[in-house]
Amino acid sequence: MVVGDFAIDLDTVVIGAGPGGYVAAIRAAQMGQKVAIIEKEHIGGVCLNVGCIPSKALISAGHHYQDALHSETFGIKSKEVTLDFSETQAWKDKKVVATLTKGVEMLLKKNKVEILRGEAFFVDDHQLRVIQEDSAQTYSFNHAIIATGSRPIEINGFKFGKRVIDSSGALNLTEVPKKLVVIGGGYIGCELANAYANFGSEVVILEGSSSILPNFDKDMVKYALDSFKKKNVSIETNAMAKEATETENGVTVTYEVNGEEKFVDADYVLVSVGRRPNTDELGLEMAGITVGERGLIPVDDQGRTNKKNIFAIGDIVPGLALAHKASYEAKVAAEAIAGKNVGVDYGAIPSVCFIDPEMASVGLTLEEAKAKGYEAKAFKFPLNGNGRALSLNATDGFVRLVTTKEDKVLIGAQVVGVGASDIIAELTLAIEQIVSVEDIALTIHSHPSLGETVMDAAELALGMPIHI
Amino acid sequence: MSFQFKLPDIGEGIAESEIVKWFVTVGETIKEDDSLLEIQNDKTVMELPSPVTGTVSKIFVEEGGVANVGDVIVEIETEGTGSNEQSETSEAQATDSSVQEEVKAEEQETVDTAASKKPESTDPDIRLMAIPSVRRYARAKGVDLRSVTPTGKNNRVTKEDIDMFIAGGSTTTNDSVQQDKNTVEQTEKTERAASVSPMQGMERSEKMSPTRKAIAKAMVKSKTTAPHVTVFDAVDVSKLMEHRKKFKQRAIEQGIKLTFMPYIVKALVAILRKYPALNAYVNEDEIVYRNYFNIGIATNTDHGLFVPNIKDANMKTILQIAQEITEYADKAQKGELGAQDMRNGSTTITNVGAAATNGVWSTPIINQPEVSILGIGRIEHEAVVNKDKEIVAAPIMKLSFSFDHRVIDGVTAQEAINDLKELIADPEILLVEG
Repeated sequence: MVVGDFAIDLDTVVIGAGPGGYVAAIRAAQMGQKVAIIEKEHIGGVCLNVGCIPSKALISAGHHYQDALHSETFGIKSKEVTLDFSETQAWKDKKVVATLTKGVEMLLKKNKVEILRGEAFFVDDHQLRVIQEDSAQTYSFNHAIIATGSRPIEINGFKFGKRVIDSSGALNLTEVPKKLVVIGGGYIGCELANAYANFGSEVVILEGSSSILPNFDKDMVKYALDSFKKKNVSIETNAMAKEATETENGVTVTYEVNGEEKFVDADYVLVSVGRRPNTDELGLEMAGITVGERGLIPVDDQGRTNKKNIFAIGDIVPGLALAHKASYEAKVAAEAIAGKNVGVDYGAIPSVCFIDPEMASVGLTLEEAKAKGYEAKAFKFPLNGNGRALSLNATDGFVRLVTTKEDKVLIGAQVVGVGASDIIAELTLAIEQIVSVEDIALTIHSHPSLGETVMDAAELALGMPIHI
Repeated sequence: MSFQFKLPDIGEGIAESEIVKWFVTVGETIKEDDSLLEIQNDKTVMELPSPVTGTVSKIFVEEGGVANVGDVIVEIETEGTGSNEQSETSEAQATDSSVQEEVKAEEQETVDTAASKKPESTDPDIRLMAIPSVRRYARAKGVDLRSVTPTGKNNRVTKEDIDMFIAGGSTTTNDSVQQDKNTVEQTEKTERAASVSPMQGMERSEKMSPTRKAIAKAMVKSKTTAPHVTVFDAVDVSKLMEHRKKFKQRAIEQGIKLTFMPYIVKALVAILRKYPALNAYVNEDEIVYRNYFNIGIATNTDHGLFVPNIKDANMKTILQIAQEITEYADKAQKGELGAQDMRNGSTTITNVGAAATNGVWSTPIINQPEVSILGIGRIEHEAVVNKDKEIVAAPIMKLSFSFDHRVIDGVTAQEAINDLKELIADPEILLVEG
């Protein structure tokens, strides 16, 4: 402690105000703790500011643009459709991001959570300093929840700059690139590739492995490949990105496929090859907190680090790096601090990719189920048997249920098609509630709706499908 | 070399036993085959001999503690080398290791060392056992879902099941796998768990003894497996009483206490012979008929209910049977009944006569896998109408005969009970048919 620097006492302190941190702070306050939250940049974190939410906004805008251009099928003809991308961005920033982040700030205040701006740095396991540009303050705390999230990985030869951008940069472009190179065909890369393709960009995806979206089943990825093909998105698989050279008006990307060196010129190159946990600039060693492989902090099932009063949640602990997982863990940690005997105990985490068509997966795939020793079965109902999908002119896709063989209890589901991101919610609930396909089939689903496909797939599993 | 003695699998599907007594203390030497400890479980009390000669270096489960089959319970330092191999012979064959899973990380290490040699069991996915709110509830109550009997659809554990489990016994099986923690700690844990209850002081929790647990389990199993039907009847036992009176003294001269029970045993042998369905059991979709007649006698003791059976009662005299009943009662009181004494019963007699204040009927629960049980009440004089249509006082014994309707139908049961009445009513018939 600096001479003259008196520590201010805090009860529970949360570091990071993303979907993990702000949820932890609110729940901790609800449990009766006096809570402060430290944020160095944006309330809402990456998710609300430069991640999930703004990307969905751009994706929606892209759909509207495409609909404006191509609605001849419905007899709608348009002339002189123009795109003013700066207005698109202004809408995204002011109406979407700002509204949401202000909302979160208001929720924090409503729950009497003190917001401390600055960067947190541990002094020991009961004290930390919050550092601002020109000042710093020491705080002592009883409990801390670290929720600092992750940041994009930078790779050799691709130093982030004006033309070499990360996902945050890609979301904040002021112009639509004529040509965009995306390095990494994971869900973030594909979502942004798809979004800019819808705005009219020519996109090249360079993927290091043999397929894009490796976390989704092959028959789902097939829909993405077909859709990309129609959209002027080309994909190079087994491509090793070597270097980006910025030119006056663009960038040249060098990459290698099967030992052959290739070049591609573009306006921008987006590097989306993964994210790394923000655990390196927190002074964790000062607090004596163990950091494990790849910078992840090992925790017990309550989110407790090796220091019993310090918890870690979200992208900085092992497991999927997803906002909804962080929020879940946040509530467990906050309740554990309040002395509740709770634990991280989920049956399934849904994951979604917002491309055209949307794809979502939860629980086990058939292969995973078999590998785990289940006698599992899979039942696939195609979207073209659904009236709502037909009326939306979006019949590409399917709903697949993975069930146990014996009592046909749902243990996994994959959905590809319009509305997949919402349909997955029902299926996740069904998995957590240990529902059998009979229960689903006996539940009335409103007509016409995309949700009916779940009931149809369940009836298919029972051997008595009506619509197939 | 140090030899680790694991609780052996003694068969009978017994997964855990209570350590009743250690015959050695740490530092003492013990010879091979000398008595090492006494264990008790739902079926039996038995002494286990030491498989090696050596010095006891560590006792893992104190007296009163519970160990699972395969748990290391004592460590013995032996002379020389090569004794490691012997440990293989006492290695558990079948272990109920599912209860060992899902212990907290820091506890994992201690369990792992002991469990490391165990074959990996297929651990049921806890998330398929209960819905999230129930899982959270179980955790908050400190209950391991895997030790709860599920009653929900598709074998799911419900909140009520957890409440039932807590009401029945407040510790989880996790406690019993902490073999390196001694009983004192376990007791403390139980007390801590009890101390958070808002009903503190108004109720008292006591851990079920293995015997009590076994009785509870057996009763539930019987009631849920066999559709019970109970027939009530009464029999005039004037002649039986006369007969017993006549031979009581003769029995005493031989050092035997003659009660009514041996007569009932004999009578049951006769009807089991006549109605083989009564001397059967269900094995999946088969009915297995027994060619032997082992008649069980429900025996009440301070430490629980036991049912030793009179082996081959068809080949024994009434006095021999009387003698055996006395011996069994004695053994049961001392807790010396062995599994063998209680195995392979044909049917059971339960007699609450002495405890009843009046001749009563009851609805006895069948001792699985048997298919019938006869409850007899206290003999009381009642007003009956004799064959001359006069009202007279006669000694009446009440019969409550429960049978398993999967195997025995009502008419068969009624015919059997008619025959039984005849046999009990007149010992001369018993002489001819018993």
